[in-house]
Amino acid sequence: MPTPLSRRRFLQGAASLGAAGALRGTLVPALDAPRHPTPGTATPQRIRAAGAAVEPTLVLVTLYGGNDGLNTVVPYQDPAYEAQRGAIAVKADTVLDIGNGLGLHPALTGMKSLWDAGKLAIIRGVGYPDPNYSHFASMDIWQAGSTANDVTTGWIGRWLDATGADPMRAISLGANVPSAFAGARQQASAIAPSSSPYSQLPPGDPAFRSVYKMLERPSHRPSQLELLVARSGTNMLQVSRVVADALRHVPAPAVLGTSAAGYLGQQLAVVAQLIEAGLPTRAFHVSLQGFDTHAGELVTQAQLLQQVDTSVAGFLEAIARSPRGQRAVVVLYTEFGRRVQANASGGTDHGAANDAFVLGHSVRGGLYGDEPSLTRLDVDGNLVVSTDFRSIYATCLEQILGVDAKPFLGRSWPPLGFL
Amino acid sequence: MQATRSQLAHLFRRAGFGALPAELDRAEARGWDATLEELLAGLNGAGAVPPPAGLTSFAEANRGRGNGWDEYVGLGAWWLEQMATTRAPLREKLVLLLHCQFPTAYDKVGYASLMYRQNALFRTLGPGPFNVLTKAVSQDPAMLIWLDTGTDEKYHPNENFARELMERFTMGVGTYTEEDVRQSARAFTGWALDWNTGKFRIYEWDHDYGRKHFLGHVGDLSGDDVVEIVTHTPVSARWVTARLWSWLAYPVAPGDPVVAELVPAYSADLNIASLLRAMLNHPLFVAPVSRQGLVKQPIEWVAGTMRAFGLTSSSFRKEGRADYLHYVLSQLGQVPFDPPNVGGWGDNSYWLSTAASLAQLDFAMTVSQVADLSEIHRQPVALRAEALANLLSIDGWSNATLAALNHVRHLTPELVTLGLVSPEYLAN
Repeated sequence: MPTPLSRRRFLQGAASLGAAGALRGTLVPALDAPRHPTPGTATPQRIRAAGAAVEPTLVLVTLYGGNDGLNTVVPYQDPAYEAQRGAIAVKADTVLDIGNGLGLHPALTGMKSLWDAGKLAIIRGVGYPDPNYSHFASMDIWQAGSTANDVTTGWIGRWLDATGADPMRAISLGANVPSAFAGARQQASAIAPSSSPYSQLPPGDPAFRSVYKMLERPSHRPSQLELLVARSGTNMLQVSRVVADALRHVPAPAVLGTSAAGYLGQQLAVVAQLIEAGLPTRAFHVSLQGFDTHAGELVTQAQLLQQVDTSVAGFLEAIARSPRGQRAVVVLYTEFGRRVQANASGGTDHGAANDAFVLGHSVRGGLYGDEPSLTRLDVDGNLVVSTDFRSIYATCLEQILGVDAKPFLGRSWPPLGFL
Repeated sequence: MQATRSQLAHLFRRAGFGALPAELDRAEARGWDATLEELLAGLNGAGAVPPPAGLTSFAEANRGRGNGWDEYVGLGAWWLEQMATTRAPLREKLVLLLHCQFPTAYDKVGYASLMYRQNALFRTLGPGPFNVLTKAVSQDPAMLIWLDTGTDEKYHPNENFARELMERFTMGVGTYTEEDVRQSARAFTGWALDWNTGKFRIYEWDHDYGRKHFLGHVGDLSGDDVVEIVTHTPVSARWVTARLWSWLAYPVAPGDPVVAELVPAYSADLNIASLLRAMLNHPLFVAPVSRQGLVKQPIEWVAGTMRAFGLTSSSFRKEGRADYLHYVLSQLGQVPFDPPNVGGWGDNSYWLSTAASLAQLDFAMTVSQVADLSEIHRQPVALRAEALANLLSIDGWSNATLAALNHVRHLTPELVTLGLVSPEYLAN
C-alpha cells in the first residue's frame, strides 16, 4: 500500500533534482516537443502544485468480448428477465440490490460498496445506432469514437494528436497499443504490466543506450514504418526511465497482486503506482479479455467479474489518499451487450445496448440514461440503445482532459452528469 | 524475370524467414523463377512434422496426465524451431499465416495435443484448396472447443462459429446478413467434439435437418454445404486474397485493385499454392510499396533471427530460463498458439510501441550473448557491419544506422544487438 510519505518523498525528490535528476524524462520535453508546455506536459511547477490543484486522470478499462450487462446489472424484479434467461438467470436472492428493481452480480461486492458510497455511476442502454454484431467492427467503432468507416484514429489518439508529442501523456499497459490510444501522428506509450522497476528498464549501460538512441533517431529514415520503429525506440528510453523511477518510489498495492485480482490487477497496480508517483500521464489504458460467453456463461462471467471487482475496488482503495488519486476516473466499457434470450449452450450471443461503468472518488454515483425494456426489443432480439456512447466520451474529454469535446468527436454530444 | 540479390532477399524474407548468405548466393546464380519454383515445391513436402517429445495425448490428458501449460510453451518453441530450420520456408510461413487466418488460442482449448493437431492440419492441407482446408478446420477439435461448436442443441443454436466462419475466416464483415448467421448456425447444430475419442462427430439427434435459406441457397443445408457455399462466393475470393497479400506484401482492403488482379489465380479451384505463385510473381510484390510495406511480425522477427544465427530453443537456456522465447514473445505481443481473440493480431503499427521496443532490445541483447558470433567477429573491423547485414538478409544499412554501428564496430555483441533492433531489420 503506498504511504503518503513515500509519495511525498518522491515528489520532493523530483522537484529538487530538477532537470538533472532522476526524473529527467518527465521534466524535459520530448525531443520533438514544442518549446511551450502543452496541456498534460509535466513542468516542475505543475508537479510541485500537484498537491493543490491536480489534473484528473482517465483510466480506461476495455473488457474484450462483449460483457453481458444484463447479468452484471440484473433487472431481477422484471419477470421477463428470468423468462428470457432461464438457466443462466442470476438468482434473485443472490444479487446485490441497488434499488430501482436492479441488483449487481453477486461477485461485485467491492463495486456495491462503491455504489453505497456514491462513487459508482452506471450508464444504462449504451450503444450506437445500427448495432454491429461483429466484435471487431463494434470495438473499432467504440475505439474510434465514430460509426464512420473512414475514421481510423482513436478518440484519445486524436487528443494526443492535438496536444504535442510528450510520450508520457498517455500510457497503455501491454505491448500492443489499442486503436483508441492511437492518433494519426501520435500514439500512446506502452509499458509492461509489471510493478518491477527492473522489468521496465532496457538492458545495457548508459554508453550503449546513447548509441541506441542515435540508432533510433527518427530523422533520416526512408520509410514511414522505419520512422515509427525509430520513434518507439526513442520514446522507450524516456518512458522506461521515468516509469522505473516511479515504481521504485511507490510500492505496489498488495491487494492488486493477489491471484483474485489477476491480470487486470497487475495492470492496475502499475497504474496506481504511477498516479501516486505524480506522473503527468492524463490517460491510461488497461484491458481484460474473455467476455465472449457463448457457452458456460455463469461460471466464466462470475470469474471475470470477480477479477474486475477485486482489481477496480482495490485500485480505488490504493489511490484513495492522494489528491491525484482522488481525481482519477475509471471507465469500464465493452464492445456490445448480449442477446436478451439465452442460447442452448448456457450462454448468450452478440447483442446491442449495454451498461458502462464510471468509478472514482470524485464521481457522482447513480444511474444515468434510460432503463432499457426487456420486452420492447429490436428486430434481432436485443436491448434498444438509449444513450449514445459518445456522451460518455464527451463528458470524459471535457471534465477529465479539460478540452472542448466537439473537435474530437465530430459534433457535440449531450454530456452526462457523472463528473 | 531478371532479379537482383536485393529482390531475392525480399522474396526470402516474405516467403520465408530470411535467407542465409549461401542460400542467397545460390538463388542469385539460379535466378528468380527457379528460386520461386523451389519455394513453391516445398509446399508439397513431406506433410506433418513429428510433434515435440513428451506431448501428452488427448486421452492421457483427460486422465490427468501431463502438464498442459509446459507442453503449450514447449509447443511454441518447437514451432519456432520449425520456422528457424525448415528447408521448406514458404510452407512454414504459410502455416503461420493460416494461424493468423484461423486464430485459435490454447488458453481456451486447454490441450497442447489439439493445438499440435491443428498446426499439422495447416501444414498438410494449407497449400491445397481453401474449401477443403476450411472444412477440415471447421471439424478440427481445437476449433470446435475454441468457438463452442457442439455445446448447443437443435432449437437454440449458438451463433459463435457460424458468425466467425463468415466474418473472419472466409468472407469478411458486412458481406452477409444477421439472418444468414442464424440460418447457418442451424446447419452446424449437432457438430461436436466427441470427448471420448477426441474426434469430430455429428450428433444426429441434435442436428437441425430443416430447410434453411442461406446466401441465396435453399434446402436442408449441412455444415459442409455452408462451408462450400461461403468459400465459393466472390467476396470470399477477395477476402482470402486480401488477407494473404496483406501479410506477404502490404496491407490492403478486399476492394484494392491488386486484389482484383490476383483473384483469377485463385477462384478457379481455390488453390492456395496457385494464389501464392501469382502473388510472389506480381510486379507489385517487389515494388517499393511492398518493400517498405510491412513491419515484421514478432514471430517472424524472432524465428528469422534464430535462423540467421542457427539458434534453437535450447540455445536460450543459457539465459537461465527454459521459457525465455515464450516470455519475450509475450512482451513483444505475439505468442504462438495465443492470439488475443478470433480476430487474431493486427499489423504494422500494431507491433510498434515503447513496450515492444524494450522487449526487442532484451531479445537482441540475449541473442548477442547466446549466439556464436565468430563469423562476424573474424571479419576485419571495417567489414563487420556489412557481414551482419548479409547474415540478416537485408540490403545494407542506412547512413543513420551505419553511424551508430560505427560507434560499436570493435564490440561485436553490441554491433549485433544494434543491428537486430535497427529500423531496417525490424521493418521490411
